[in-house]
Amino acid sequence: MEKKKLLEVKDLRVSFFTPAGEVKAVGGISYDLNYGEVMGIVGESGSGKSVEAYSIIGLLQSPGKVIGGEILFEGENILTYDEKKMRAFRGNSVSMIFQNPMTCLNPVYTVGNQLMEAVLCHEHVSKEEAKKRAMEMLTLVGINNVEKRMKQYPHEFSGGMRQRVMIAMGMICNPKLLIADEPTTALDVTIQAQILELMKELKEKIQMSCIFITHNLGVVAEICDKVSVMYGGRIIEQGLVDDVFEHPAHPYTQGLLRSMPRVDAESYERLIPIEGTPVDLLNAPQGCPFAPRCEHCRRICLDEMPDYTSVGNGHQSACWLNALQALEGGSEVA
Amino acid sequence: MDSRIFTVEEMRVATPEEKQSVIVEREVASFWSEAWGRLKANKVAMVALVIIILYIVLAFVGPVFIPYTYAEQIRGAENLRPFTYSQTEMIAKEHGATVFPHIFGTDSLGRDFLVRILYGTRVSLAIGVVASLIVLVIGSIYGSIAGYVGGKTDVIMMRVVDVIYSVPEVLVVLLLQVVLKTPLDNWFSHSQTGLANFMNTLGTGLISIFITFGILYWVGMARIIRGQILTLKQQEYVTAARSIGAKGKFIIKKHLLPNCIGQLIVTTCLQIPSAIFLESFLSFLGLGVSAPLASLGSLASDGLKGIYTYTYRLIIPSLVLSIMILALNLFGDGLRDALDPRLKK
Amino acid sequence: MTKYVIKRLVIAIFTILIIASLTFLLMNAVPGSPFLTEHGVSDDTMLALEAKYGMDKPLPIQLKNYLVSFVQGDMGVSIKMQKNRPVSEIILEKFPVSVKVGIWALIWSVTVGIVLGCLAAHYRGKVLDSILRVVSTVGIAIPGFVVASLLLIVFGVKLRLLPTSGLDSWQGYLMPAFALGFYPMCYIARLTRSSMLDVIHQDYIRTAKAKGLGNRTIVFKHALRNSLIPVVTYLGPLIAYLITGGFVVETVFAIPGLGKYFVQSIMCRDYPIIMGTTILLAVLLVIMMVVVDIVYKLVDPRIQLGKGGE
Repeated sequence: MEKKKLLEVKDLRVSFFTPAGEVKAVGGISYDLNYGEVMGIVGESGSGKSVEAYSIIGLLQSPGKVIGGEILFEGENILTYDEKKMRAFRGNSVSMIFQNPMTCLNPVYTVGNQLMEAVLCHEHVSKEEAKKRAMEMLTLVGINNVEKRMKQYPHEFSGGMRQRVMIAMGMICNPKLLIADEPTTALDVTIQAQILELMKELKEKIQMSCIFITHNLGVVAEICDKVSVMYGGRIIEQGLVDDVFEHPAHPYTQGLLRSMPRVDAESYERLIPIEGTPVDLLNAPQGCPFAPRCEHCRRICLDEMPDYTSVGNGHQSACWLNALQALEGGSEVA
Repeated sequence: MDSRIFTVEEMRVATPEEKQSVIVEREVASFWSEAWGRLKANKVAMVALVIIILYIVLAFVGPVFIPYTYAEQIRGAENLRPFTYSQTEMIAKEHGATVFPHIFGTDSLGRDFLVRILYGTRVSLAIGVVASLIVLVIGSIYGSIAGYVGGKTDVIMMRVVDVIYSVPEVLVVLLLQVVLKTPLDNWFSHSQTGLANFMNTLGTGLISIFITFGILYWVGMARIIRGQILTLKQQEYVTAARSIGAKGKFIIKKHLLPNCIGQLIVTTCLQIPSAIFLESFLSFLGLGVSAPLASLGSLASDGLKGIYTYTYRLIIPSLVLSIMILALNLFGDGLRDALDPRLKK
Repeated sequence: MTKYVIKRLVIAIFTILIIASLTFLLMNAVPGSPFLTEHGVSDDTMLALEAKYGMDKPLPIQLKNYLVSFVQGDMGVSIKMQKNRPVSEIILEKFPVSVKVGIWALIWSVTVGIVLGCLAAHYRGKVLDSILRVVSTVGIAIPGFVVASLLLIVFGVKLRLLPTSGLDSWQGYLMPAFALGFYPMCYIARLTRSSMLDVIHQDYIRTAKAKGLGNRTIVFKHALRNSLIPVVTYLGPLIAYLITGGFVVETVFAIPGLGKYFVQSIMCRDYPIIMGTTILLAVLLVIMMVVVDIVYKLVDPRIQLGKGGE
């Protein structure tokens, strides 16, 4: 696979300025995404994964604000775009599909109308052309009887079907990057599998980069090349999916994997939950956000945020223990 | 990073206490103190509250300090302009007697206008509160029964609500005015009971307003309460209460009503201005309170007759009434935002 | 669709029948005869009068007679206001006057209300929004008669710009229509603003933004139609308000419409007029409700009229 950077996020910081104080939803994260790559962002609710994605597409809602860092898309910092440029960028270069397909389509317009609208606002094509494209896309995402479906309203579609429509809508302008924010969470398990299967197929067919936000590790294993694990507004571990899943370095990732059922597990193995509650980002600790819940927590973890330690081929983890292990031999504990 | 040297202390395993110490607990306030905090922070609502309190004080205590009554007709003091005196009063003043000024003047029958305004405010406020209480009681009982029992009962009860909802209410008020007048008047003149006397002072107009509220206006409240109950019914704690054998009445009292109390307060609060609104409308048409009792609406109606020469007699009651309704509305809105932050836009 | 309309109309007719019967029975439940108040009426005259107006028969028969003749357009004759003049004739004379004022008020309040509501939502938190919010909040706190009388004082009495009574020229319509429409205009503006803000936070607006649509398309195509749904539901109560508000406005501006006449007939207990007008207004309201339901369907495709919605 050619290694050319499509997206580079550098030290992105996003805060929400609420009446109760500043909530540091994203506290300085960096990552790269290459052309054709699929990256998973995993984390529990409130870990900042959706906020991070919304800042890429410029949809942060007040009181949220990007307060630092850069987002380079094909080398251009999109944070400097004005509203007009951003509008041309959204939906055209990057598009997004959302969690709840039941509420994401406008109930008073037909599905065809909403699909065509996306084409018409970015490209100078005739209505017939747009309609043709919309029908092609619907066929591509596995919807039958397209002619009739185009004229129907969203409430005449089932949840899975609506998510298919959303996917079609996301891809109709051939974006270079598709951000999927928990696209399967709100669906039934069987439908989830279908949608995942569809996305895998599409991934093979169209070489499109994709950021897959989810709290479901299974989804990541199935579809992603790379994975970033977020906790408390920071990426605490990132690397290739196989590396991270086979050799998790950060205690949080380890805990996450232990708390998830595995098909290959011995029958007597029990799932181990992570004790404690997620970090309160309104009063974020100065040390590692995971420290209070970490079973290996050291004094230093409470006072200072660790830097990344490389633990393998592009595999990084932000944990003092990893830093210590890396140093062992080189330097000693004074 | 490469040459970082760790001290032993830094690498000591942190104790659970140390881990706990970095977690800053958010202050967890009780529902009511939190709501009160939100309400206090809402300046508009607080100003409205002050105005309402001022109104209540003026309307109920104010008349005590004024040596005139609302029905007292002062001879020779008809149609006085504000702060003027009648001839008799002037003479009395010259003889050294203190005469309380007619701050708003007097009306065509020589009644002190300020006192009438204060009494009018009292009547309007009282009507608003009583009517809202009627709505509250009937609506919440009806709504909670329909919502709690559910099934066929609910369907039938809500059909009744639907029918009442589609009846044009003002027409009914007007009809009731006509229909109730004679029997009520008969009853007042024949019965000597305290209730009859009391109701006689209020007049048929007022009584029929209350009856209308009792018959018609509770449907909105009933719908809200029923909706609340239906949602709450799904909640686990009600299932839990049921599983340990709690009876229906007990569940309504203990679990369901306290949970819709916010909605109840807000709806009742917003009902007060709308009742005052309706009363003033009727009084303005000459169908509300009966003389000599006055409400702000009837005072404004009287004022309309002398609009060319005594414009202020229309403007004063109109303003007093509008400010009162505005304050009540704003306070009600503030209360809603405070009690249910989710509704805040 | 047709099936639904027919079904709704049948229910509407049923409701009207109930209201008509109730009105009739209520009117007849009043003890004493309307003729009693007249001076020196002998028993014979009384009986003669009652026979003349069909009041000597048992109630159900009276009701039936009344309803039958009502449907035929005969609502009896006035017994006080304009003695012996047919009620239907009076209504035909007075009603169009009220309708004219009402329609102007309806048009201006709905259009201006929606536009102002959209503007307020669009400029949320800005000066324009604040001004509009103050105006609309104050507006729904002022009773109609206050607005009407203030207008009368300022433009009619002090400035002498507009006629204080009657509808003889187009200037005559200005104040009544404004006074009548002011409250609903403010209400609609508030409703539109809050529902607009509500809609703007919906997921499908986020989708529209993610598509890269322009602000104008988002507001006018995606947000407006959805936020008009609550406004459509207000149309029913609005028409009811215009009818009753008309009573006040016609009284203040001395407009010879049905509202003023109705209030006067209540004061002097002209039963046939009260009954005829009540039933007519109820019929009007019930029909408007059906119309509103159908408009609702046109705005929101989710509402399935044919299935009765249950």
